[in-house]
Amino acid sequence: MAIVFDKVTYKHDPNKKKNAINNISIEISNNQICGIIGKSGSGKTTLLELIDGLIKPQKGKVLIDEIDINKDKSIRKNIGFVFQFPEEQFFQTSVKKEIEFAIKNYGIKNKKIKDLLKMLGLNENILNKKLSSLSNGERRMIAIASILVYNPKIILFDEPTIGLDYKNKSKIIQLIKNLKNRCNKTIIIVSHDIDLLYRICDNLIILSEGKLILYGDPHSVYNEKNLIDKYDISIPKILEFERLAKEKKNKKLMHSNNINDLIKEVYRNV
Amino acid sequence: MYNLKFTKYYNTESFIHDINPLFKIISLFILTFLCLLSSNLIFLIILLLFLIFVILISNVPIKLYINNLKFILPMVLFIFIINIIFNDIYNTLLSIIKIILFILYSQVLLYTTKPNDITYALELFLSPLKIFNIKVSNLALTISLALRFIPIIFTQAYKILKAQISRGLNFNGNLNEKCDKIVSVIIPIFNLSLKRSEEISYVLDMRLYNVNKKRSKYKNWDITTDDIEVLFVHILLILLCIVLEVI
Amino acid sequence: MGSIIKVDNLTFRYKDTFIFDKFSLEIKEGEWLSITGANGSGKSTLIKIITGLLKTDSDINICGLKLNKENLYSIRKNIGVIFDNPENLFLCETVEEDIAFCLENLCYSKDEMRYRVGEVSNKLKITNLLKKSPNELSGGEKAKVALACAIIHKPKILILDEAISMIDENEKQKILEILKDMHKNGMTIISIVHDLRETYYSDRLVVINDGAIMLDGTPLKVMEYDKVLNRLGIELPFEIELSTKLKLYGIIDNLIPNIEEMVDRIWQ
Repeated sequence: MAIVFDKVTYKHDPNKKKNAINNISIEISNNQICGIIGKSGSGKTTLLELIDGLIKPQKGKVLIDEIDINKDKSIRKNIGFVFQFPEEQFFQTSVKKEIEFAIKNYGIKNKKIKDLLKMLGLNENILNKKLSSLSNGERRMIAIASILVYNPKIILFDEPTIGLDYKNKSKIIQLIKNLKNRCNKTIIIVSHDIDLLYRICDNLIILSEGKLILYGDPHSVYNEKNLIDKYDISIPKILEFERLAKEKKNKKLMHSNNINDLIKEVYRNV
Repeated sequence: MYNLKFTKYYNTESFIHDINPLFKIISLFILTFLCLLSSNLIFLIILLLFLIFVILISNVPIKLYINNLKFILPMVLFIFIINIIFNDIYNTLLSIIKIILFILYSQVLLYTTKPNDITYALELFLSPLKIFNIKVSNLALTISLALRFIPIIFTQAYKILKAQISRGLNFNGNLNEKCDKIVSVIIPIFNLSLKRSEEISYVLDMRLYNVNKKRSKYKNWDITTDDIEVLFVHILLILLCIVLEVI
Repeated sequence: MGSIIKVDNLTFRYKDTFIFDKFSLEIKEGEWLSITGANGSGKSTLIKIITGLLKTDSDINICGLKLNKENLYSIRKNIGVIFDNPENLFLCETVEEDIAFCLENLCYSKDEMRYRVGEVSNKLKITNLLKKSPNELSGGEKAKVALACAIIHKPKILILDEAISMIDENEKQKILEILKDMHKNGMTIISIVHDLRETYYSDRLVVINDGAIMLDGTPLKVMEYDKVLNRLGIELPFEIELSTKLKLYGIIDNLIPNIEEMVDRIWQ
């Protein structure tokens, strides 16, 4: 499912001047992982809320597969939104009831909960446990399960790895990759971890104070030196290394996507 | 949702806005007292004129004051009818003027004084109650904390509501079903608020707050000549009331 | 410099599990200690025990006083804490009232309070924020105000419980510089961290797992144990991971926590 922002402007408080989202137009195509980057308050979460039709823009339209989500709320069953700290939403005692909440609301008959748990690396018998007995990582996974359970085609993640340790972070990252590659979903991720987004995203959206600064594949986006400097945008550490090697030591390294490739490049150039 | 105002404070500049909040509380107290005591129509009309004068210099749109009167219209009508039956128009008129005076004058206080300043003034005003072992400063802190955190809790509730709506929550169905559904917002907020109050109590503890100990006050509101003038006017009103009662 | 905090054989249970079983830790006066560990390792619990927010009968000494009910208030006068949730740190309507809150509890006079608030806000460069509401502040500004609130009563020990983990990079670095300054002037600092980048200025890094100390040494020394850290679920910062691998290939001699310095060292 493709997402289109058509000249969208949104204010939190209609009485004030400041725009949370300022005249943004983007087309996000189907089946990709798209990252949203920006400082706190730049409008990242607001953008996600606009996609899910939870808020309505004062100007412009948000189209999901060419349908305006604010005119036809039934599209929402195709969008899953994993909020920041999604465990805060829990209100049931048992894991099973919490996961089933969404499918009850959307009236979905065909439940493939066991397959879903398998994909998340969770044991089937977690369904009978109490939410309060789960570890941090398990709680996050169940929260995500309660969104994936109604099989939405678009999945929005707001800081999915926040507060998790290394092992659980890696599980979530693998899950996101599987959702794109094996399940053909369209995934949008908001994160302050720019190194992570650089590694896994097909496209990046960079926001500053509600305005769209850059949109494109990670490599081209970070090549726009003028805009990066103008808006004081932090760059991933790998690129910082490559840039310093080029500017200070005149070593033009071939571009690497991960640390191991970078090591090989350095070894070649020493 | 961001328009939800938790206080009636109207942010503008005026003579009334700058008056020491303690003096405004004392003023409301004196006026309510005079209102209740007096049965002299002339005095009440003078008070009414005084009220109109205060409303005009408060720089708060008159529309807002009038909106408050709409609420008491049914009560006024009721009193009017009752008193017509008992054929006592004079007292009816007095009662109606007293109600209007009280409601509008308390509105002046609420529109021109920030809630935290009202709390500050109330703490000073009620401090004599210490004799009766009532911990006024604890009460004042509780109110300040509530003023500070209730908007934050509402914002969090809104976020939870959006999250549940995103999972398909709708409010269709009969009353019973609707109640069941709102549980999905109330329980998370309740849990989060409990956790929040625990965290706040940690902060209070580490900032050396002690329920039983005396505390000093950082906040200071100087007494200006304007405040003394206001007090003077009120003393005149008290004297006027006494004079008109005796005559 | 003697020890300012001494935890001796701490045993602490929560429900049916032992969070700490005969745990010992000694912190010297003027030391900057960073503590890290996977979620559930007990790091936040340790802080709550030391500050008396969780009760224990075990032997803990802070600033020469035994941690018990009678000494609790006096001990807390020597500690300033910044907790991790910025939303719940501010209790008052304006920043200056929040900073003064602690002094109000100590019954300082109005003049003394005004002087101290002015002193602290000058030092942290937040004088322009004093009249604002805490809601209007950015993440970095909130952290500076929280710091002001924590040091207003001139404590000897400053504790940060994952206090700066959610702030943007640039602002985080500024706060670390301020802490570095305070440390130079004798403040004992204990910081619970999640991101090891926040440990570069500390004297000592302790890694806790399941209520026991796994590693204890200078940050760079501890970060050499990359396999242990990975097994414990702790992520190494990019610079350290890169340094470790470059060191393996013999391109550099030791771990370098700064990318610019690394580039300089590789191609000297």
